[in-house]
Amino acid sequence: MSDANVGTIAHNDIIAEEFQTHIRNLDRRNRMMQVAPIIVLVVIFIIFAIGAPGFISVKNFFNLLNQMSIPLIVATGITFVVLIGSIDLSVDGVMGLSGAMAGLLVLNDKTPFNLGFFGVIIAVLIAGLCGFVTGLISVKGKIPSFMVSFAMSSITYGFAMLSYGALPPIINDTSVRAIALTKIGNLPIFFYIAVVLFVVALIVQDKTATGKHIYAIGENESLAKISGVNVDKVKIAVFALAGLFVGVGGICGAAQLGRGDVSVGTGMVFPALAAVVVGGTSLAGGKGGVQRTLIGVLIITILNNGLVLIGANAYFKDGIVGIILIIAVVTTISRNSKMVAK
Amino acid sequence: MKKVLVALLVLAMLTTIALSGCSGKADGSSGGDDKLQVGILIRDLANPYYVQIQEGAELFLNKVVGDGKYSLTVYESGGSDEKQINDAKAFIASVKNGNGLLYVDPNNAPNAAVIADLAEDAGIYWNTTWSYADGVYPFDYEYYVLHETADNEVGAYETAKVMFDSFETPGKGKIVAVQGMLSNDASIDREKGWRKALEEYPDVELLDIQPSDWDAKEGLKLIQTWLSKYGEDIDGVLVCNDGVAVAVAEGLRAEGLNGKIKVTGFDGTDDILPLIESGDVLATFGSNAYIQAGYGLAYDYAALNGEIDLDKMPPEERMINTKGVIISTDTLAEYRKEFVENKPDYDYDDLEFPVSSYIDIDNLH
Amino acid sequence: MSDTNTLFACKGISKEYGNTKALQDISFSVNKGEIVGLVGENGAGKSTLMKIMQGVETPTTGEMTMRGEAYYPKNPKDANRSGVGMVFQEQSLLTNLTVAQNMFFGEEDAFKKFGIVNWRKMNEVTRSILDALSLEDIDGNQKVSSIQFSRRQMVEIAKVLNRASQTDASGSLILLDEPTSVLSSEEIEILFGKVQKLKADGNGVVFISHRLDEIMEIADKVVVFKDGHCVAELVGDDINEEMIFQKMIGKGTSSEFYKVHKQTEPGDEILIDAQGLSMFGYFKDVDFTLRSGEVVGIYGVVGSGKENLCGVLSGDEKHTEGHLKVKGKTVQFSSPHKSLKAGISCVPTERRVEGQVGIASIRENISYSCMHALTKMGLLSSKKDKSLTDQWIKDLRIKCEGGEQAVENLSGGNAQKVVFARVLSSDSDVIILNHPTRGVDVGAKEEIYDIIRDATARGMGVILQGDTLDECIGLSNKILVMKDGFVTKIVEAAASAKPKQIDVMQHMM
Repeated sequence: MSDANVGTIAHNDIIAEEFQTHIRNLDRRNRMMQVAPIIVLVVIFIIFAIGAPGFISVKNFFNLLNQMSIPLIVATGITFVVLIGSIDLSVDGVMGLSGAMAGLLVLNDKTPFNLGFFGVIIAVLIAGLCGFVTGLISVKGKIPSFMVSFAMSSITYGFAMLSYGALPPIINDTSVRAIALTKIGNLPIFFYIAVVLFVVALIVQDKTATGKHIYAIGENESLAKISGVNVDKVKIAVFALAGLFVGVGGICGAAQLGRGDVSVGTGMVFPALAAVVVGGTSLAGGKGGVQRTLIGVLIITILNNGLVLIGANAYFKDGIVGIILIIAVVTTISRNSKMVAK
Repeated sequence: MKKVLVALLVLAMLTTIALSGCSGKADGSSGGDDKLQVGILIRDLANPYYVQIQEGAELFLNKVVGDGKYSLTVYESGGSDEKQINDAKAFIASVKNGNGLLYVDPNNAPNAAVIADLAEDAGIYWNTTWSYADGVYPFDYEYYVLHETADNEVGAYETAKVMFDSFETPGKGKIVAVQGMLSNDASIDREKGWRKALEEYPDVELLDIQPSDWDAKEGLKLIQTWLSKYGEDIDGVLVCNDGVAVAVAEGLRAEGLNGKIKVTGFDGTDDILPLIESGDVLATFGSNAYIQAGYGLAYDYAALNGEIDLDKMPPEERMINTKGVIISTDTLAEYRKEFVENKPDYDYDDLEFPVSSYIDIDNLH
Repeated sequence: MSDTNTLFACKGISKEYGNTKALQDISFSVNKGEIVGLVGENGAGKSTLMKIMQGVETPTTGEMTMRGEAYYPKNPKDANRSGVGMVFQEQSLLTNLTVAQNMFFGEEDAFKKFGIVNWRKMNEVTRSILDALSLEDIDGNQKVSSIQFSRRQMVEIAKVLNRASQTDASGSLILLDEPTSVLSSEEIEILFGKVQKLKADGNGVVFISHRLDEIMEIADKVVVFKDGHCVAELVGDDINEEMIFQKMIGKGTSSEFYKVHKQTEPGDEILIDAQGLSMFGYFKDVDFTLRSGEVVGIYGVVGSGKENLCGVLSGDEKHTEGHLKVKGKTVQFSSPHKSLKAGISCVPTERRVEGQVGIASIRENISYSCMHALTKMGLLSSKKDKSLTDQWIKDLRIKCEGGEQAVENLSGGNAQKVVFARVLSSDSDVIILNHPTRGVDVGAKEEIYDIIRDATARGMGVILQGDTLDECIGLSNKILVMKDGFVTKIVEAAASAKPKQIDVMQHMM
């Protein structure tokens, strides 16, 4: 073929072969990284099963399912945002706003509204609207999503506070409260809500064309665009979807607390994002998915639960979670790749 | 276009932070450099306790200074030490000719040391509530008027006793406890109060104690986990404050255990009263935010217009425990009448009124 | 033009990017059942024309027809609909998705029901497409990331064929941009087999490659591009490499332009000594030395390994085998910082992105790399800083409004000079120049060549990735010619005995 030699191996063959091996090695590393979170989950499960009294018990099993429900709803929602390579820091505020709105629209001790189910729907839609706005400004204004969503967090928090003035509304609507208080098979209704939403997310992710488009945008946005995908539309839709999920999370939180208190969202962005990252969805986008997030939520929930059962020192607790997060981020980011928050 | 969007975004963000962070901006009218600037540094207004602090401040200011003659700004730290310091600086910068009062609830004790220096340099009278910094005492300063605290230890001790006495077999049972924040004076003192009560009740066993960072959700998680670990062995839960106590009570309600497992809180905020009425919460200690805020500022104001001479005041009178009250089903109606249906009308000239005891200045940290 | 055998034709196509004329007055045609080979030097315009044909770019002037009808694709989808499909040089498959999902990416509607995609059906259709091309070993349900590079190439061809195939079997036009660069000899054989089949089916194929032997083997017609012009259309059985080379090579610019008279003889000090240097998967067994005062040029097509070689020297990449000695010390750079510390600085290709900070001033950009020389007891001496800047502005004749002007407001050539000033201030012994005069006007080019000569006169060593072969020959003392990851020849280029372009080119193709 090449004029270089006859009878000996041609140059292009040598390099081509080396390149193939190089790619195969990268691939193998990728696959290992996928398995890592599951290994972590199994390891901490075993550690707590042995060392934490009360960890292995029917009651605690239900506890875990209970405690992971709301974080799962929220984390699943923002998984899509991470898949397109963006980030959503507005969770705290949007959850709180959604909870506050629900609190004020259903039967409560502060306002005359009694919209029941519709009140809940409106609150979720408001949260979705917040997500939509975040997406719109971020995508059309070409402003990094972390900036826009961070601002949105403050804005929604502020609105929530303003909406009820000093004291959060006490929710008196029994069917809304039932979301947290009524149990079916030992688990509150919001657990089943979480399951349903998770399945919906899974379907969107794996069974729709848009799901694949989301992955494509995360991996190579310009390629997706050239292939005819309306990238802007998909990205904004993703933010809106995340808003809806977070909104549902906020309502479940408010049902649990019995109050439309903005604090149902406070500090929720950290465990949600941590779950996404620890589960193995890459912050750079294009890799991972809600199944990974489920693993991540399990890890975080089990960690928190087990550490309390052990009676661990509180500072120790924070430290451990922090370390695991760093390890997870380091292993899911591929070296040499530039990460730009889009 | 992009720059306009960014500018709008930043503006919107700042506006809402300003609105929510300073939602306690109470003013009579507009304009006038000669208005008394009043700053209140607290954690966040999402906690009803701090809402009462703001009300308490306004009651004092309207009565003594006069509507329209002051400008009140509430700064929320959101739990950040740094933000609180920056807020202090911002407030101090807004004061002209030392015509200002500053009420500080330090996020963590060391903040008080920083603010002490800032206020001293700027010549602004101020006080601390709940926490003071190691080695930094009011009587060593010209402008640090007062340190006051509801008696955390006494209050916690009293509520714990109420709980222990209420067990099926009085004085015998198992409890768990939810602390506030490990490095926070109020939290530390309340725990001291609980442990003092535990010493006096040898048949009460403390199964576990964990911090919650003053976060209701954390409290909820803790009670859930404890319930699975200890089951119905638990007879009572001592909780660091009312906000978290509400969440613990709701967590019990989800298991149908509300009222059966006793819960106590601390602070006496309006939103825990219905739970005391229904019996889901046993008792709380009303630290009386109206006294804390109103008299804290009253002391500062008295120093400002010379009614008290700090040089001549005995040092022990500058570190006080303020009066509080146990609120339980028995005392509820009375409490309601005095603090909820009406707002208390205090005589702010009587600076001894709020004092329940003086802090022992020979045993300061 | 309205010959029914003509599949594609273009006339008077030109493309300008700002002041740069990438293509000028291109006219040629492709018949049904014809394979056209497109050759030319780097930057001759081949890829640009293909992009225009594929709808990724629009021509500045000119017209195109497909099957006799006007053809103005606004995007690749348009092109596909008209029967034109392209396999880009860069991989354009989404590795996180499966073969089938890639095949129908953006065209899933046919398989959707109530929003849910029937992947099974899609896989089935994909199966038949793959089978038609004898790609039995590829499964539509496989993730692209798990498929070997060369097989991915095949998948791309299948995808493009599928998109561009016309229902009335009137023939598609398939564009292949360097399809063989990652393939082994065996795979190239297979590819050629498929291309022949395409031809037999009445499709047209345009095939860009730098490997002239391949072109000659498969093409019916060879079109030669040079400097944005179509300079020859060679048909017939007696085409040979010599003929092609002649057409590809330009007249050559005068030696005055490259200041050949200023070319310095290499000194005694060996600055860089590479032995058996290899980077797994990219290049292998590179041996060369760089002495002080010497300019070593590296030339080859994109993908020949030259970019990676420069990357290894500048610290952006790591070599996997062999030895690299800088000034006698064996090194293995783990970062550009380490390379800089060893005395090697780099003028990168994408100057605006990598070479300088646009919003910062000229002075700030220059002093970044030589802070230590300007500080006194840890504090930056603004006096020294300013005088250094002024000196450079004068020496390099940088056209600006003074040292405080922001670099992003300078013209290309002057901005490049600022990068040079920074690099030259940094006290390095070796500078690596990645296409130093790209996007720079002629006048500034000459000035930059002067700068390079001055640098060598001062004893610095220069590694040069020249923009054109001409430039490489003119500036270098010797040239490493690279092809497919190996150095095929080191061509001497002493001032008195400059090689002809053909002497270099024959080793790179």
